[in-house]
Amino acid sequence: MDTILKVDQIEKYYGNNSSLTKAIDNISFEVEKQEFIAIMGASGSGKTTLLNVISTIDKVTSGKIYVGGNDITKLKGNNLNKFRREELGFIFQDFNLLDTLTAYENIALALAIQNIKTNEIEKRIKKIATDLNINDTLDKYPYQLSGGQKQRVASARAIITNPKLILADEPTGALDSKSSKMLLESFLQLNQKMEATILMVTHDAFTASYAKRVIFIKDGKIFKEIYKGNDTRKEFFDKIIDVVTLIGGSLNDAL
Amino acid sequence: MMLCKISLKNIKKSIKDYAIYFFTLILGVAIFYIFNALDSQTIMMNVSSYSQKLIELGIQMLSTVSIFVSFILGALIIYASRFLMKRRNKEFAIYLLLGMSKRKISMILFLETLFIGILSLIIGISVGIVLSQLMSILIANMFEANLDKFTFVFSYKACIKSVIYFCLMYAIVMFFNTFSVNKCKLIDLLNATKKSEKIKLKNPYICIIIFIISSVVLARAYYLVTAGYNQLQEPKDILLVIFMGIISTFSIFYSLSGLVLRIAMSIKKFYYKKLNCFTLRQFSNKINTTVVSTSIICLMLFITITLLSTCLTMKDSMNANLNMLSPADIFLTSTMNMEKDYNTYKNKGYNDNQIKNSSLGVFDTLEVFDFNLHQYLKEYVEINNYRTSQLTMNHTLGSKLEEIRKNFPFLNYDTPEIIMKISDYNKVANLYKINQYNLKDDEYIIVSDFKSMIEVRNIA
Repeated sequence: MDTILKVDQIEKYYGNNSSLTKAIDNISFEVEKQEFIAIMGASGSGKTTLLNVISTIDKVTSGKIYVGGNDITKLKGNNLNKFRREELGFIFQDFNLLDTLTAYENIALALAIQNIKTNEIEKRIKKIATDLNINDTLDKYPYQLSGGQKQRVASARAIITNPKLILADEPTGALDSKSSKMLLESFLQLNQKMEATILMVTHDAFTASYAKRVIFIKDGKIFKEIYKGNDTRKEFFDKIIDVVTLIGGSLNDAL
Repeated sequence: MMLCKISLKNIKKSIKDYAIYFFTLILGVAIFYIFNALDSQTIMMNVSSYSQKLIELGIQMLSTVSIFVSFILGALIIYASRFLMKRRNKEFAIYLLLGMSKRKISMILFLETLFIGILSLIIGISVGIVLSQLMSILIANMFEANLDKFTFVFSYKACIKSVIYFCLMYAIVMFFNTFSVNKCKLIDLLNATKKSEKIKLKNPYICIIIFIISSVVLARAYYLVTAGYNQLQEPKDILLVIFMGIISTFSIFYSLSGLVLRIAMSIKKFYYKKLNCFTLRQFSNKINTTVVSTSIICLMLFITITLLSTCLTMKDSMNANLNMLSPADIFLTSTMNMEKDYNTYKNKGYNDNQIKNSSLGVFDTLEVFDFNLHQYLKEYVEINNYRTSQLTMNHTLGSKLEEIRKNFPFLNYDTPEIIMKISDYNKVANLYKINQYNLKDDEYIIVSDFKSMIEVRNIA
């Protein structure tokens, strides 16, 4: 299978010489096409920083990150904009929808930035809205939506441009368990039906159990990697909990 | 298209945030227009030539002030738009993440500023037009002008001037916005809301020092413009004083919050009583964050108050002077015999023709123009005054000169005294129905009407 993402010995340091913090300390891994990966770790383990450098929000101190063969740590200006616009989709814990636009317009914005024609935009939004079950919410403003609906609108915005890689930062962090479940089912659907590659950061074992592979990070290093394989979701969840216990009590909220 | 739509929607949505900004802009445009429109407002008025001159002076002053106002407004707009931009960091981060270029984001900001600018210009000028009509009535009242010919006046000049000034201001604001958009980093934008506001604890000693110094400077500045105004000889000095005032006002506000908090905290009994610690913290935090706007508002108030009071006093004293000093209806003067000191008068701005005709008296001059005085006036007198540099105030004050000079330092003692024949004086006195005097040889009397001058003369 094709490698979509290749992270090659990256490091990210904060601070100065006297007080150096290694947020990421020599991490390497690869993500294949149509994979669904969860990155787990305690607070301060560096998982969000890892996602930030992959998503070009932040810059690495050293090392290289390849997306579809291109080194994205070297991108600048318009190439960077083009990369973000065409090859990445973002989903955040706090949704990051624009309050001034309706759900429909929020989704359309991602396409409009790519200069796609209006009727094409409408066609694509109709399709994805049916897939994610947000047809009724399209004309509403974000403040009129529930958390789960908002996150599904945000997911629609992330997926609608057919990006190579979808990055999700604690997507269920602000949702109740029912909405979380619905959202994760949608993720699975996106992953299987639309062949989306998803990289998700979470500290929640339940959320992580939907992934096909879980990477555990501790103190900026990869601690362990487990694959779902042919396990059921329940068995995979138990395996994840085992590793969490192994890492230590810092993941209290994993249950 | 899309950008346009986004910015329009943004304005519509964030109208609450924009309301104060918008209101300030409208007020600014209106004031600017009123100040500059006065020019054409007063032309239609029937005011005495003396008032006319005063009004002209006032207009000149106002147009200078209006430039100053536009500077302050410009600063305010930049400050406000930066503040608004800070609130929208997250929004810009989303645009960037969706792959919008910084140029396009600047474009959205540009369009927003443009819409708001155009709207505020239109509303501001309309408000200004209405208010300037009221203003002209007020001014007419002040100068006791004849308002029979009142018409609705629209000043193109003022309108165009305000449009140009404000376009310039918006251009600067846009430049600043573009600059700050280009400067910002995605990671900072995204995390801006997560970062709690930094609480800057200022060094208390520095605060106290700044507070004391700026209090002294401010006191000095206010002393100079009020009690000590005779020390201000040149416009340069006045500017310096204004500058001193601005800087010290600003730094007083800057240091005040730290100082108040520090003093209150040192009195533990007071600080931890009831809600005092909460109130004080809130109070000092408010002062901290609004240093710039508070100072600007203070200065604006200061300028408005001084302008208004100056105008009113000027008007009062002028009217009083007018009534007391010129009881006659018409007062014609002509300078005579300039030919003798041709060069002196040439330097004073008289042209050749005026000098040539200066041997004629007022009556003769009027005859030259075929103007018959008898036809229009019931009573009139013609008198001659003489001036010579050999008789100045220095001479008439005699031996008391030094004492007077000490009490009235800003009189010009080299002014030539105006000398008049007693027969001429009696002619005038007759006309005004006041006492006539008889003088023997070698005697003189001094006539004076300014209060302070009477004081001076009585000492002598």
